[in-house]
Amino acid sequence: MDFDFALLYHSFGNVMLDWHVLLAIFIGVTGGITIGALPGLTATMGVALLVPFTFGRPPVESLGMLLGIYCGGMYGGSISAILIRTPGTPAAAATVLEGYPMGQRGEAGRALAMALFASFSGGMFGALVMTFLSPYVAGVALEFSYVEYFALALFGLSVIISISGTSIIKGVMAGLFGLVLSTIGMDPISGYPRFTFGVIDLMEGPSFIPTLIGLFAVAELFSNIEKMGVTEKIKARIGQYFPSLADIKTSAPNILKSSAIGTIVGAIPGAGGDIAAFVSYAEAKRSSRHPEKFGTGLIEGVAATESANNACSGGAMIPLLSLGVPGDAVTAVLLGAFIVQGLQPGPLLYKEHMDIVYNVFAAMIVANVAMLVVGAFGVRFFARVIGIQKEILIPIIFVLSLCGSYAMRQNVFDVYLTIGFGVIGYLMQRYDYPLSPILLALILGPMAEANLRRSMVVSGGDWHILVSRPIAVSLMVLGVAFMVASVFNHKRIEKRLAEARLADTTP
Amino acid sequence: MKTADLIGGSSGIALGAYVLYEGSKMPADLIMKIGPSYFPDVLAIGLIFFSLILIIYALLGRAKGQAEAIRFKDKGIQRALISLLAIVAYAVLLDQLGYPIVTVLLVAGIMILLGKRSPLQIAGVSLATTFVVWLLFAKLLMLSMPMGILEDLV
Repeated sequence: MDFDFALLYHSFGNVMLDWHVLLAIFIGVTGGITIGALPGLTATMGVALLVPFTFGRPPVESLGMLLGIYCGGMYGGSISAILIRTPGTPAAAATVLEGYPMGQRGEAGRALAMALFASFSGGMFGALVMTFLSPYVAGVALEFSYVEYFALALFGLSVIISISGTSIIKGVMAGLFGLVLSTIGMDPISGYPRFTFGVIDLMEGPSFIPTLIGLFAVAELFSNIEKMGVTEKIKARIGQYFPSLADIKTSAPNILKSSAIGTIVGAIPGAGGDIAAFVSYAEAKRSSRHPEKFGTGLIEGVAATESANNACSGGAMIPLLSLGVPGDAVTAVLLGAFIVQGLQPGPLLYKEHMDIVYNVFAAMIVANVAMLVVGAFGVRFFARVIGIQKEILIPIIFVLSLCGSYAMRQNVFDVYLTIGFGVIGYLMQRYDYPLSPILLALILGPMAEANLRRSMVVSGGDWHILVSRPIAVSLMVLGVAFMVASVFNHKRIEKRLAEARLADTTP
Repeated sequence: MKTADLIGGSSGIALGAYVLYEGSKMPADLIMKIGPSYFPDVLAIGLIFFSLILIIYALLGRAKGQAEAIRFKDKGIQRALISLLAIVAYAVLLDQLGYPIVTVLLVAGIMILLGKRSPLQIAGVSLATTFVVWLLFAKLLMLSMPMGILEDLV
């Protein structure tokens, strides 16, 4: 599939000249930065909470807003990481290492300016790679048959399970739990109702948006309520909006390298911004001329982690758009938002809704510019937002969660579903079961099952069909390789992450 | 973490067993060889297998990480439980009492639960939240919110 420059140009017009879309993107970015800056509220939660607000709006407008939240949320996490040593999102955990010591030295403004600039550069890099690469990936994927889709789902699942969480066993259990949940409802081939307990509302399986609001918002609220801390007051003075030329010059090689790392990590299903940031940080430290200074507040460190986690968002969009397989938890939520709009991401989207795909490209690029503008002029406001009392914030998010899950089908059953998944998510998180495999399994499960069964229909029940196509075989082999490698590497990675986190908690 | 893993593993086995039991009642597919129960069965067997490993690890004393037990005497757990009850009550009463009443009550209730005492602040935040969220859903997105006993007033 060739790249269509004229269509991209036209899509920029659609996004920038329609004030509804532009406004939606700016609202999304502002909301995303706010949510990202608030510790305990992640970008995933932000998108999940705000998906209901896109019901009934035109696709470009609603997707623009959600992409804005995604980009903004990734940057927003750095604000609280630098100012109060608490990463606003998991992806900003690595930013604490250099950002907070800078803030302590009275250089919070300089660190924040670099975080924003690096986020913008990384985000732009990721968005551009996405724009120019995904049509080609989709072109290849158009040739895929049921067998390749089955293999792709299997590959995605194996990667997700092997890299998430502190324990592989618990990661696998969470993934299998999600897959079992995905079988609730009518069987995709014969229509036989499974595990519905006779409840009509479960015929189509647990509704996606209420489920994820439960897992990612309500569960988080319960743990926030359980461990109510004292809200920190921000004392730092912020007098700088853009980094100095000297800082840009020092950090440029790291920004470029980390953007590339972030995009690649993002494109791997299941690997998100937190991993991208830690990998880039390690690389920046390894290749530095003065690695011993890392941890004392180096601007290059902030540049590396922030460009990586923002580049990750563009990377994660590549498999989502071109293959229909989300690259991380936020894109899994975005997939739900596409489906609400009646669009199924994947190669067919390029055939049937090419205009929408290019509008998404344009919206993503514009969202990054909007992030730069809103971030620069609003940094003092966002710094103050961190000080909002949780006693006020929590009940508001409860209302948004419950009403959001009710709104789509106007059905109280969905509210119960949200509460139920909130409790399950809270308990699982408390005992170290990762939640994102559940979310991705809910998407990849039906994809795996339906395509396996269809392959069987085509072959008349002959299993050999699964090994008859080279791409499918390679994907399955890669999936197994990922699992085996993760079992061997897990201890090493765990040790490193523990070290990094220890360094982060010891003053 | 040992007890937690034993409970987690047992729950996994119980869920897997239930899926297998339900699956045994589903019709078989003679042509494709794999019917509606095939996929759930494979998953259930996997879940049981990994749950067993988790239990064995826990019994061998190799459970990872620290886990805090849920103690009902703990103030935090009590707060979380009360908030759970509050949102269940919200769901139950949403259709009958209507969105405005239950939402004001929920916001005010949670604020008090979390330690807010200023009546002015509680009233202000709960009324404002209820109004703004209603405005967003009902007016901007044109989604109807249940009005319950207030139906006749609107």
